[in-house]
Amino acid sequence: MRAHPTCTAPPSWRPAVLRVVPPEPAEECAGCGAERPVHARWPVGPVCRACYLRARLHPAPSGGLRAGPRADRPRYRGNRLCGPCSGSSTDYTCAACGEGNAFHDRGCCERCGLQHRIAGLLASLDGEVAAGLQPLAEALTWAAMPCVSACPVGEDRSRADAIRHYVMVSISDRDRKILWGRSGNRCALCRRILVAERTSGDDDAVVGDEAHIAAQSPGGPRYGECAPSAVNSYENLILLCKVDHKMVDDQKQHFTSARLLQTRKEHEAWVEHILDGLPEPPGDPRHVNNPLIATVEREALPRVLTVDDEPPKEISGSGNLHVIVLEAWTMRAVQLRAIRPVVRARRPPRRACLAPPRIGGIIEPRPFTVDFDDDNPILQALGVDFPFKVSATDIEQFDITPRVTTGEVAWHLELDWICEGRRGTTITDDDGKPFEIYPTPMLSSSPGLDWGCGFNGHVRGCPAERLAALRRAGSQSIPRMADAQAVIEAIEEEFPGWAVWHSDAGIWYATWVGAPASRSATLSSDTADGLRIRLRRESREP
Amino acid sequence: MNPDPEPTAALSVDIKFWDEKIAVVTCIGELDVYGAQKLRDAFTALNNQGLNRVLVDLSQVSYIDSTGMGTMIGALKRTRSVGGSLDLACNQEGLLRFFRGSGLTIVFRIFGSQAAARRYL
Repeated sequence: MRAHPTCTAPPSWRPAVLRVVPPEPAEECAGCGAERPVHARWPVGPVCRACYLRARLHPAPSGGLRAGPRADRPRYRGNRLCGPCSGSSTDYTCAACGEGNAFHDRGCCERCGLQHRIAGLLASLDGEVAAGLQPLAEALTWAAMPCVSACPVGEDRSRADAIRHYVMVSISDRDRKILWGRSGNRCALCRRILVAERTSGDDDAVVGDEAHIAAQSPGGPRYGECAPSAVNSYENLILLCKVDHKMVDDQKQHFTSARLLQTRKEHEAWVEHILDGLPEPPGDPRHVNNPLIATVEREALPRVLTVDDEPPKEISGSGNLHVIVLEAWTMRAVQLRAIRPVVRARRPPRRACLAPPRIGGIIEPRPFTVDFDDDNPILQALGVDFPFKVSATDIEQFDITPRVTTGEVAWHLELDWICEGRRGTTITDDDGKPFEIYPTPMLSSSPGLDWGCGFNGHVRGCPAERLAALRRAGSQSIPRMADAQAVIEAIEEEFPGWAVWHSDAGIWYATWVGAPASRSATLSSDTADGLRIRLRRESREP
Repeated sequence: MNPDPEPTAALSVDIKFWDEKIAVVTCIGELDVYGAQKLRDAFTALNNQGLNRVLVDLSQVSYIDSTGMGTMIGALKRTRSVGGSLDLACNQEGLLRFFRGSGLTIVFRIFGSQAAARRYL
């Protein structure tokens, strides 16, 4: 391979052939205002080479340019310009947060890029930013945000709004004290203690998180369901252990804002009740009254059973497995003496829908069963029987398969224990409510009980379909007719030319009844707000 | 052996008129390959009478298949070509899901009920 004759560099390094291009005639640059040769003509006007490069290398995020660039807005001189306003049709999407039209570096928007860099600066050797430094990282990120104020040509996101939105970067001491105090140092979901005791060599460890109910950052779970000014206030916080914090953020469909608020309310009531109602025993006050932590999980059966109630609800069928994990708050051994099922109520079975079978796993035989057809049901051990022993480091798991063939049963478990010379009984139920089981065999033996859903899908109006419709409608309730009518009228007023209605399953529709035009004849959405968004988009497009 | 068995829920088609300008075709039953023929005959009859504004009421149709859908699309094209219209009335999500899934909501105007359609047509 021959080297380059002049610079002796290898051939692949040879510079490109220079072409002499006559300069464009000078005009007033829309960016710097100087009389310079025109490098490009953008919707904002002619720009010189320097302004062109600056805008291309450091495009400003746009507040959303669905309406396209606007050349008639105030001049952008001295400010930054987003990609679409500078005539680039690239639809930038941040690789980290998914925000559109916000491109900075390495495929990320300005905010995510900045976050990465700040996290890199503050990270310790293991590459993680210490919890104590997190607020600082956030504060630094958002402190830099006002400079991305907005593209002055595109849609405005005013600088004042940006600052107001992001100025509260951390939770105040006051809110923090209220939260920890009212939650009694316990996770609102699993109720475990959130400060681990010190050991001989280590200090106490905080294992609790002050979790946001509605996320602070765009794209986070439940973001936008809380006023921006109240994001870091007590109203938007819930005290959780790390495991539950991850769970509520990952399973955001199940853990809605309303559900979390309700959980917090119930937990605080529970803390108050415990502290008010019980005399403080000698020794460790936290553990002696109830040293056990019971976690109940119901294994999903291949066929879901939905009973006809108002609203319809899914309940366990006879033979559904209940897994109860028992552990203890205390390091001392808690001896479990006995466990017994207690019937709270019986009732004849209601009509029910047994969902078409799904491919499911095979359930292995489990060590306990209860026959609720018996008037005094007892727990029969299929393997090792009581007593057992649990402690903070020693966990037992009970797999209980209740069976019933004659009627619906509401029940809970009572567990007798001995710990540190005290006896007690712990009630294990379904979060304060009894477990319910349904006599599944009756569905095939009693005509008229089964809704008749089978391999071909659900029968119209069956409880499972109604429940699905209710869930789609959000917050577990279909709007009442009067409310729905008001919403319909409001939407029709907002979007003239559209007839709005909803189907029997609560899906919202809008039908075009205006003068003939080339647009969608019928639009639909799961919610009224979703329909509004679609109508807005529809009326904006030509 | 009957080579052409009739399905159990055969389609019945009922036609009435609003102000002698709009034909309301009410279908009851299953709109499958058998029902589609009846519906096609009804559309042809309306076409011969010169009526090209049609409302098809599907609220009592329990099932619809591709031939039924094809019949309606054919009728829609014919009526549109002569400046008419063909709209639907249906409130059942089971059927509406079919229209949404196939993208036909873009071409069909669908109303929640006959009464709702009456207000706008």
